[in-house]
Amino acid sequence: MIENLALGIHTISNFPALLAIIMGVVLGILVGVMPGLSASTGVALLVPFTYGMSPLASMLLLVSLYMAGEYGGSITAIAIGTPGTPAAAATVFDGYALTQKGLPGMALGTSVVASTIGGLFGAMVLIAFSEPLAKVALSFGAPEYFALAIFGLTIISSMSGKSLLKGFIAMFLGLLIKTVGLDPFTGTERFTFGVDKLMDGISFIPALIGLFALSEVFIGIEHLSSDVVKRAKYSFRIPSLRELAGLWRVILQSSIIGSVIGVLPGAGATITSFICYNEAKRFSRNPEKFGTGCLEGVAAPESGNNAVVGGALIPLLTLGIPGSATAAVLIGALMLHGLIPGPMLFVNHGDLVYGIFVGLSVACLFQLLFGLMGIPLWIKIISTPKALLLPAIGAIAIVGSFGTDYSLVDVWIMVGFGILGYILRKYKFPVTPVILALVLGGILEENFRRALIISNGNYSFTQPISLALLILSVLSLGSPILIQRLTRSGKKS
Amino acid sequence: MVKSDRFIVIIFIAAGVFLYTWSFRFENGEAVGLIAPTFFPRMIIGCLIACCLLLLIRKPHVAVSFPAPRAVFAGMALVVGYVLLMDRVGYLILTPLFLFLFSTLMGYRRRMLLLLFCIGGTLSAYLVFHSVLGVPLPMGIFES
Repeated sequence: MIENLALGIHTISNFPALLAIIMGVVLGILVGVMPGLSASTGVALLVPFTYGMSPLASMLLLVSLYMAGEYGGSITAIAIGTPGTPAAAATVFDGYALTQKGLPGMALGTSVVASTIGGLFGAMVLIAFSEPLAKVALSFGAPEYFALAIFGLTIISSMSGKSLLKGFIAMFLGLLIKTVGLDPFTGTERFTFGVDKLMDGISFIPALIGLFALSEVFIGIEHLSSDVVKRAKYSFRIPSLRELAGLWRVILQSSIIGSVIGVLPGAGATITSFICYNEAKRFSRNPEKFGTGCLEGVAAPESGNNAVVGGALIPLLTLGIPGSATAAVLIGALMLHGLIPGPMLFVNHGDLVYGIFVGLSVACLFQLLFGLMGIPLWIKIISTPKALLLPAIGAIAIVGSFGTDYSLVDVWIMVGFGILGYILRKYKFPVTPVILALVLGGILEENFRRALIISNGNYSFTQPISLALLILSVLSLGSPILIQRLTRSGKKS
Repeated sequence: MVKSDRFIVIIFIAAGVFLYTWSFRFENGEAVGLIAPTFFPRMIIGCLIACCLLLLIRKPHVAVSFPAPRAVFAGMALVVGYVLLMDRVGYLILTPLFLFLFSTLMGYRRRMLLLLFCIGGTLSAYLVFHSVLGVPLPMGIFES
């Protein structure tokens, strides 16, 4: 492990890599600060900008953005009571209460320190457990990958919000869209309708940009009149070292919870934040202070949702399974550079993988620096009128999807997915299962058919790894319901 | 605008039926390894329709509000218009126009700042995409 760490440190010890980390952190915080823009939207918007970059620099940029985006969401949650990202929703309870008490600097300072420690903890977990998991994954054949794809698809149960049925409908839509193009075994055209460009299938990046960024623009138009963001005014006394040291137990506990939940594909940072808040309150000596503006109530969700990042990268890099919406976008970015996430990534591009691990830790430190330094600036950015922000997102979405393959067909695909995303979101269908299905649909079909060919039609579910994965799939489908109940009990209490 | 999610579910079922019918047009549809190219699409369509029917018979249905349908349609029209004209008119003329019209549609009234935003935003994105990343943005009427 030490050798690998040294390799990672060596890989990122150059100016372009450090610059990519710094840019990623700054942009991530900005994205997190903007209400309505999540880390996944930010990563999706930034992917087109990485075309001309090296794979390492682009991944460092995107992973740093992912990490800092999770922290940035807490700034508006604390300053104006509006979470910049869904994962910062639990931070509103005590963070905004501190602002109303006239102590926003205490909440902002606690948030950035807790986020940094949580992020570093998640990165350590990533470094310690990725390699053994990758070694196990190397023994995977077609049946195992089929079972793995099934396991990955069970994530939708925790991405579906209130209606699991709607999550399934969105997933089947994604799987159906994935069948567009040439059949991988016979070359038969499927649903191409005579359009040559569609023979290669639906381009993933434009679909992603459309579903996340353009649909956000259309939703934003509706809420413009009722969503005026005012410039906040407050003083900035930050917590002392002694006050921060008093939070060690809650930060450690939440970091462990965040890392564990992050590894489980699909649970996500939002649910993690609520669980961490709930557990911090449960084990606190002063549970009655939660909700009135206590530092523990800020530290718990923030350390938890940043620890998720490192955890979520484990299934992504070792198995090629996205553990969250942002991780799904990151897979697209890797593929854009000709890199297939999975165990072979460790074999063929070990320097890149360990560079990402170490880069994530460095990103945490820059996040701390910029988080403390940039507080006045973040507030100024918050006040950017949406009437300027949303058209800019629209234009970048169009130009970015054109840049995928220099083709207007890709732009039309992006527009189509933007409208589909808007309709799905309006009718309360989750959009993430569509993306998940686009990522996993090909693996599912190809490996199922390959397994049948290899076994001469006698495909068996009883091989140990595939059987274990299928059992895990059943458990994964059921566990979010349990987690939701825990979260609800946390909210109620 | 239809406010019940039944509407969208019925659209999905109709699309599923259409695509299932379309799958009979697949050529060279012989099975390889016991499975034909039509198997997965048809199975997925079947599952999609089954889930839609389940949702359709379940109550209560979600009522959706559309606070500003005209503004959303106008926004979509601007996006579609931008893409339609991109090749002919070109990025450098269309983008500031798109930003100006979109921001105005959304109620932004500070003209001077808007003008600076439109021109500055267009040139910044041009610099990044065209000059730095080498993306050949459509030049339209400026095409040599």
